[in-house]
Order: sequence, then structure tokens, then C-alpha cells
Amino acid sequence: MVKKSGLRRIKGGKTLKIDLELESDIIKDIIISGDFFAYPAEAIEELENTLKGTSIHDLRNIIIEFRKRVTLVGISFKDIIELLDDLINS
Amino acid sequence: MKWRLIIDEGDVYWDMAVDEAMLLLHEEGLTPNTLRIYVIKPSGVTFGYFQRIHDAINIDYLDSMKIDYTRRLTGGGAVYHDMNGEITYSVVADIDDISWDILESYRIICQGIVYAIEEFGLKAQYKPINDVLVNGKKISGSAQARKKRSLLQHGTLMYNTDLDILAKTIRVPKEKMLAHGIKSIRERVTTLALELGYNPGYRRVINALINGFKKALDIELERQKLTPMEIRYAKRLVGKYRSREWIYKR
Repeated sequence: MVKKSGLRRIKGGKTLKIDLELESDIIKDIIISGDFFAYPAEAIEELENTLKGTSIHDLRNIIIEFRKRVTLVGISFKDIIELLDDLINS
Repeated sequence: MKWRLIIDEGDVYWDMAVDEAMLLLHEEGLTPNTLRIYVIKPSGVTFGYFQRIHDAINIDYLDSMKIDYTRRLTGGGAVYHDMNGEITYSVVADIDDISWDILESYRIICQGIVYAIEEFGLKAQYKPINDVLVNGKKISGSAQARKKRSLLQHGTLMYNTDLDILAKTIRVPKEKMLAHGIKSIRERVTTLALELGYNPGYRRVINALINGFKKALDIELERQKLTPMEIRYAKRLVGKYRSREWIYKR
């Protein structure tokens, strides 16, 4: 099990943090946190739950699919994908 | 349009429960559009729905000082609500009456704070998404939650907050510090008292907020009390805001 954690300051002032637990290519746990806004709020936990148990290779598609269901304010899905890429490749 | 005005005070758990109760009941058509102005008493800390508690606040300091803290229903960052230096507001309304555009709705409601500050002869500036600045320093922050047809926006106006305590209660990520340069909290945050050179006192601040929101939202206000149903809902919700499960949710 590998634990990774990354933080990114987003243009405009908000902060995005992702904590990741990986077992080889599988996401065991993920927490997306920070001082941003999401509408509806429940969508962030839904996204985390959807990502748990999936392969890191499917991340991008799952997140892109989620874009239709939630409006992010202060951060973007691109920020989430980029930070995840940084973490996975680190 | 006539809205209801509520002015009250309570501890941080009760206050968060009342705001959520009003939002839930507004969604059901059972609470009217409301401006609520309140003092969180005793002083407390709230932090954003999506924040990890250990990243957001200094739990050891808060516990040692016996300062209450809880997670909000709304996103955003951590706030120190100084009972002798900060007024909290909440707006509960039909999204139709504000704006379906999220950023626009923040701007419209935050304009109430801008007008309130201008009542003291100061210049204030709305900084998207959710801040109001005076002389380039943050004096107010807000956060909004939405249901299908109703919104709740609550936020803060600091008039005499103890910034030394504020700095000890809230954690700022290293990256954010670096981006700001190694600036002290006093270079980034301000209060009405610091800008005016005197403490205007909570009564004047409350009156300024009432006038500010009337102007920004183009509404009339009628002072009323929470309904028995709102109090019943809030009593049901207050346990959540006190619970370890909610506070340590992430």
C-alpha cells in the first residue's frame, strides 16, 4: 500500500488537496479536500466512492463523466486530474 | 419584496443548526426569504464542508482554550467567530429571487456587506468568489449551499476580531503562505476597528448590515422570530453539529 498526498493552490486563491492510497494500480482510498465549493455538495463524496476500487488508468474517464453532475467553484476538474496525475507519477 | 429579519445569538452548533433548518424548510416552502443576523456566543470556529479538520484548524489550541468548533454545511475555509468582534449573517432565499448563476449570486449577496462597510465611510471591494476586502485586506468571507430551489449563504463581517487568536485557531497551508509571501495575518486580514481607528460596536454593525442587505437585495425587512417548526428542526439538527462523526467527517 502506498500513501500519497498532494496540495495545490489554485489561481483565485482556493486550495485543493488530494490524499490517495494505492495498491499497485488500484485506488484503495481517496479524499478530495480544500476550501472550494461544489454544487451539489454530496457529489464530491460520490466521486470519491466511485473512484475507490478502480484502476488509476480509468481515473480520467470517470472524472470527466462526473463533470455533468456537479458544478465546482474555486477549483476545476482539470485541477483535480492534474493533481492526481502529479501524485500518481510522483 | 418583503423579507423576514431575524436577529439572535447562540453557540456555534445551534447557529449552524438554525441555518440548516431554515434552508431545509425554505426548500419545502415553509420558511420565507430571510436575512438572519447573529452573534456566535461563546466565540467559536467553523470550517468548510470539504476541509480536512487537521488541515483547517488547530484542534489542540481550540481544546485548550475551550473554544467550540464545528464543520459547516457549506464549503469554503475556516472562520474564527469572535463574539466580541464579529457578526455573522445568513441569507435564505429562493434561488429565483437571487440568481441561478452561482458566481452572480455570491456577488449579489456579498454586495450587502460592501454597502454595510460603506456606511462607515470606508471603501470596500468584492473579490470573487466569496471575499470582501478593505484596503486590499480581507474583512469578510461567505459560503453558499444550494438545494433544488433554495439557497443559504452565510458569512462573516469582522469589526473587532482578535486577530492574534484568529491566527492561532486557523491553519493556513504552507503553499498558501508561500503564495502570499511571508506576510503576517495583520497584513492580509483586517477589521472595521483597525480601518476606522475605533471600535464601532456590534449594534452599529448590525444596523449597517441591515441597511446594506436592504439595498443590495432591494428588499424590505420585517423583524420576526424563528417559527416553532424551525426551532424543532434546529433542535433535531444540533446533535449532528456537536457530533464527532460530523466534525471529524474528513
